[in-house]
Formats: sequence, C-alpha cells, structure tokens
Amino acid sequence: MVGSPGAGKTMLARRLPTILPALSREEALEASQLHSVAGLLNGEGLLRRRPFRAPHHTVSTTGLLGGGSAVLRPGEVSLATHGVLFLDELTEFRRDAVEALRQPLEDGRVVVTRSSGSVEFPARFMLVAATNPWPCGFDGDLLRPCRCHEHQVLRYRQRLSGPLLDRVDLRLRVPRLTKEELLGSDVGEASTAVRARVQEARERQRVRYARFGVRCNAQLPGPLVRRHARLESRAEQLLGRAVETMALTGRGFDRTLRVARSAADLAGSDAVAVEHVAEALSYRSAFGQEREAAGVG
Amino acid sequence: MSDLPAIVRRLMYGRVVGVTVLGVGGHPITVEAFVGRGLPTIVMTGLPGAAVQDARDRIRPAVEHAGFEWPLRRVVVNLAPGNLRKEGAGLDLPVAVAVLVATAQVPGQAVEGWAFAGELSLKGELLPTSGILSVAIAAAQAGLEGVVVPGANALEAAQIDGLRVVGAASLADVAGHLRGTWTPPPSSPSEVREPPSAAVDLSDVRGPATTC
Repeated sequence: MVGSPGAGKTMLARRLPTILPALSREEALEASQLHSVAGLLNGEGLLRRRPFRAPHHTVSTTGLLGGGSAVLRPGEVSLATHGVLFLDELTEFRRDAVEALRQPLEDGRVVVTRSSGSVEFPARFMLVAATNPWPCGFDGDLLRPCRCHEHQVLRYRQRLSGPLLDRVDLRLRVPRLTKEELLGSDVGEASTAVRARVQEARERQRVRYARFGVRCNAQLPGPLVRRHARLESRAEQLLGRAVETMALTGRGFDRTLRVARSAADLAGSDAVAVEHVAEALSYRSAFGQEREAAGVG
Repeated sequence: MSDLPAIVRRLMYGRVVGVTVLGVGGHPITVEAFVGRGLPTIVMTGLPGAAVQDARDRIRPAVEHAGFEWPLRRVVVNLAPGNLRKEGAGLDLPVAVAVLVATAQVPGQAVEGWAFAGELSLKGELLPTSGILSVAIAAAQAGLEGVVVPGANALEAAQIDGLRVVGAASLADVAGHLRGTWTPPPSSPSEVREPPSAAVDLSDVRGPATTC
C-alpha cells in the first residue's frame, strides 16, 4: 500500500484479519504451537483469531526470521503464521531483514541454522507492507505539493527491494480522503459480510484442489496454476499482451494468474474471464509510475 | 532382595519421561536419576543446554520446599538420548520427579506412561512454561497416557485428543498426585470458537482504495 501519512494504510491492514476465514483446527494448532514455544499463548488453550503481527521497523533479522543464541525462538514471520505480517514504513526496515523475507514467502517455512543446531519453523503468512510515496510523505496532492528532489526520491525508492516487490500481488494506492468522504455518514460494508464472500471463494478452491493437498490459490504450485486457471480465450489474449508490455517474469505470470483465479472465485465464476485478468493486472502495475501520472516532479 | 549384598540394596534409581522442545517440535527424553555414594552434589549428563544446567541449582530448594528430603549423597541425572541437545526449563519437573522416585519418596510405577514438563521455582511452584503444546503433541505421538504440566499451561495441553492432562500448581501437588493424595482439577479442551466480536471492523473504512 502506498499512500500519504494518515491516509489509513495501517487502519486497513488491521482490518484484514477480520475478513479472513476462521482458523481451521489444524491452522489453530500450528499457530498456537508457535505462540506456545515463544511463550506468547498466555494461558489460552488455542488461538481463536488469526494473528496480526506488526513488528517495528527497527526489528533485527533474527527478530523477524527467528533464531537467538541459546534457544532458537520463532521470529515474527512464524508468529504471523496463518495470519498477517504487517510491515509499516517498509523503506525504513533494514535491508537485510527485508531481503531475508524471500525464503519464507516462497516456501512457507524458515530454516534457522546456528552453531547450536538447525531448526525449521513454519512461516506461512500474508505479507502486507505500507510505505509513503516519497520521502516527504505526501502524495501527488495539489494542496501539498511534493518538495523532494529527484535524487532523494530515487534513493528512497532504491530502498524498496525489487525481488520483494515482485512477490507483492496486490499493489494499492491509498489516497487521502475527500471532504465528502470524511464528513459523510456512509457506513462501509461490514467485515462479516465480506468474510462470508471470502469463505465461499475459499470453499470453491478447497474443493477444486482437494486432491493436491492444498487449500487455496496461493498455495498452488505454478504448473498446476496454469493447468487449472481455465482462462477464457479473450482473457488469454490479454494476459499474453501483458507479458510483453508489462515485462512479466515467469513468477509474475503465475502470480497474476493466481490473483485472476481468486477474482473469478470471488465472483463465483468457474472460468477466468477477461475482467478477472484485467483486475489482477491492475493490482500488479509497477510501483513508481504514479509520480509521473500525477504530473509532479 | 535380602540375600543381595548391602551395597546393591542401597542403589537408588528412578526413571521419568520429559520432553524437550527444539524449534517447534517436542522430543521425548528419558530422565534417569541415580543416587549413590559420594559428596552431596548433582551432576547432569546427556547434552544439557544452559537452561537445563540451571536446573541443578533449582531442584534441591524446590524439593525441600515441597516437603521432601533431598538426599545428602551424589545424584547423577542422565538425559537420554545422549546425542540430542536438551533445551528449556521444562525439564526441571521431570528431573525433580526422577530424584523423588530414586529416593522412593514417590512410587516409581505411578510415573509410568506419563510425561512431565514444567519449570520450578525455588519454592517448588510450577511456573508457566513455554512450548507445552508441543510437549503435549510429542507425548501423544509417543503413545503416552498423559502429561503433567503447570496449571497455567493445562489448557494448551488439553487441546490434544486422547491425552490425559494434569495441571499442577507445585511440585508438592505433583508428588501428591503420584502418591494418590491429591486430585487435580479437571481441564477440558476449549472449542475453537469464532471470536465474540472483533474490536475493529471493515465498516469503519471510508472511500475507495485505488490501484497504483
């Protein structure tokens, strides 16, 4: 998520666990076991809510991934298992800590090796990261023009890891709210209603993938994604064009397909239509283009 | 026994099952205690980690506070298998119980089929211990009948089907349970329930989020 300070990035992230399906018993056991080992279960039997972990940006690589000198403890990535790991101010995190997220993001587990031995912790989490668009914090906002120098912006952007960004499927811009939105009495859709839709989409996926031993699109290996996406012909054409114009990598291609498949599942559609691919691609557009689009700098 | 030489009759030995947690996985450990001739001391063998080494000094005050006699002899504690590193203060309790069994202060057959885990204070209280859920899972996989754990962690252990759980507040309670003079409070598994109501809700969100 990219947006000005105060636009509501953290607020949105905190609400993500409320629309995710309830923990299954196996998930609750695994997440509770990790909390138990870390001494964070606090006398509860099992975790009932999906974990939401928001480590401070000064967190060390060990704190994030797990480890320690005498006893190997699970890190934030493991404590966020079956829940959400939220990195606010992504550019402020230590570079090596952020880069180290790649293994758990791909494998859903983290192997910690120290002189005292090597242990493996589960780390299957949903990563949410937030950052300001520019060092000054302000968006292409007419009232608060950005005063950053080009080189400052460049340095700021360079702190974002390309390989990590390539693993981010949904890139959102969170704009400042307008007067009408702030003063209006519109109430948004409740979490329970959204969660019901998510649960329905997950159920479709669970049935579809039951024989592969995976539960949802995110866990499906690349070759199977390509086989099970069931693209309509126009959707396939659009995706084909995107590979060339957006320079999608193999991983980017598979990831876009998964998101499109999820969009189709949420819409209750068996096949992936052109609008689902278009939606997936729109989430994938490169971070960094909005500055030009906003006509600043 | 009576026709054996006096020196053999004095051999005092106890064996108890504990669990060490490495990473997230629990590994059953056989804790043996032998009380023999020599200056009063406690020696620990079998790759004990730093926290397990600490148990040497914690256990004697805990045993005495629980109202038992500490043998003024040489106590050797062995943790098997010897090639596996042992971590965590959760081995305090099985070591203490093994010494109580070796000195015949609790009956040896009462500990059979059970795993023990928990950190002891100098006063003999059982402190909340990390990794008890992993202990319970390992005990169930090893086909044990039940686990004795700190009362504060009884609820986690109770999540595992087919495993009896005794949650105790102190070493005195554990010994009382083994001697049949103390009955543990029942602990039943709690259901994975929907959270009653989340403090935050998506309906608080205003305005649309747009893609980059």
